[in-house]
Amino acid sequence: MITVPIVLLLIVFYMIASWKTMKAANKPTFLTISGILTVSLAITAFNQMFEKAVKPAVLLQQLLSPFIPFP
Amino acid sequence: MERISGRQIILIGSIWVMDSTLISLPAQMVRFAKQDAWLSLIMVAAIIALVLWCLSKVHKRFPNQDLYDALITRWPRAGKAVVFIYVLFFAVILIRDIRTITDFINVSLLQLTPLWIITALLLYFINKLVSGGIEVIARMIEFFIPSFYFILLLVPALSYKEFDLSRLGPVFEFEWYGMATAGWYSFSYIGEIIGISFMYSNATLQFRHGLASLLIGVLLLSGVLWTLLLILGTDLMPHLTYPVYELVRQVKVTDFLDRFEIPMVAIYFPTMFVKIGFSLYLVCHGMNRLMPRVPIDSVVPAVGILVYVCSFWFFRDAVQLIDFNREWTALAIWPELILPIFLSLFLRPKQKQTRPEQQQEIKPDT
Repeated sequence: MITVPIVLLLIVFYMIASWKTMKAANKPTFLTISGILTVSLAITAFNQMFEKAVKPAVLLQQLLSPFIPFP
Repeated sequence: MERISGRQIILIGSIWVMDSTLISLPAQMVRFAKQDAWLSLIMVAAIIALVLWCLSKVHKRFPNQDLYDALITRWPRAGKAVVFIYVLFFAVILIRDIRTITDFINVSLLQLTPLWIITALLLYFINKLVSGGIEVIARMIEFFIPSFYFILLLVPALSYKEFDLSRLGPVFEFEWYGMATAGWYSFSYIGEIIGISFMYSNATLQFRHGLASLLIGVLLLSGVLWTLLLILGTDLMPHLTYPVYELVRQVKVTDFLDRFEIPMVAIYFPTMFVKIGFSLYLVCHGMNRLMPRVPIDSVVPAVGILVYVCSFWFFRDAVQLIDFNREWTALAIWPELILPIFLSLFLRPKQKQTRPEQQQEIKPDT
């Protein structure tokens, strides 16, 4: 199980490791990277709060299972 | 431009076929097709060969371009939508492979280490690998993959005393429904070989390269299936989560090498990391084609973190991950079979049209 502090720690490590690249990056790159990291944090928070509620693979299994002709 | 040779593309294609398939799929296949599981592999390989032929036709029409480039240059809007579908497809493969290998490492080697530490270390290594570019990954395979194939061929040679030929029978009683079910489960794994057409841009992807890699992968997989059937049999195999690992544990080469699975796993893991690296590269490469101002190497670590998070979010546990193979084929069949056939029919370069007045001007005065 991963938690928000673990992902935050990873993001901080990533920021330190790629500081020079981030400083030199153009605006679209900066926005894309920030967007991806924000989505990662949001998913982690969601996963932590509703651990047993929604798993995409389980959801897909429930949706597709009736249409598959094999056991 | 980064270059990949024909030999490298054959090796890359064969690990797309082999690596993830080896972990737990043989048990599922034998559960349905029993002793004919290898035949269902051949059936699937025939369909995938047709897909590779379709893709090589598309490549011939767009020389020196990979499929991402061909799609976007020909259809700027619809092409981007198809590229987005492929980026999602490779992202799901990446997430599934990372979670599979993490669970496998946790069971086989590092039982007390938390999963999140194993995944973080794995992704750190893969990020470094992919940041170096596709040439670095392609060079890495030249050592590890032949060594891995050598070890795979060594296993039956070392364990032939355990063979029981009666476990391969009845030979001529084919249960077609069982074979079709096993084929359904293996289709999404073997079809991952289409990844080669998204990374091969320095020359035209030739059908013979794709076919050679498919044949190497499928023949080696069939060899592993025969060995598994001869040693473990059809009754025991479906109950094992990691049958190949159990098979390798049976091999004992003197007292000195009684843990033969450790050198085997030490060679297998780098090949799996390379395969995951290729998936990560294809995701970032596709994003770069969708957003040309975002360079691949800048976006790799961020995508790595997203994949890390998703590998825990997507699947409940290792058992659910293996069960998901049944439904995954229903989704994977679109990018692996239907889209390539569609593209081979309709993705053609723009024909230069000349107006009738221009044609008259061009005509010589005779």
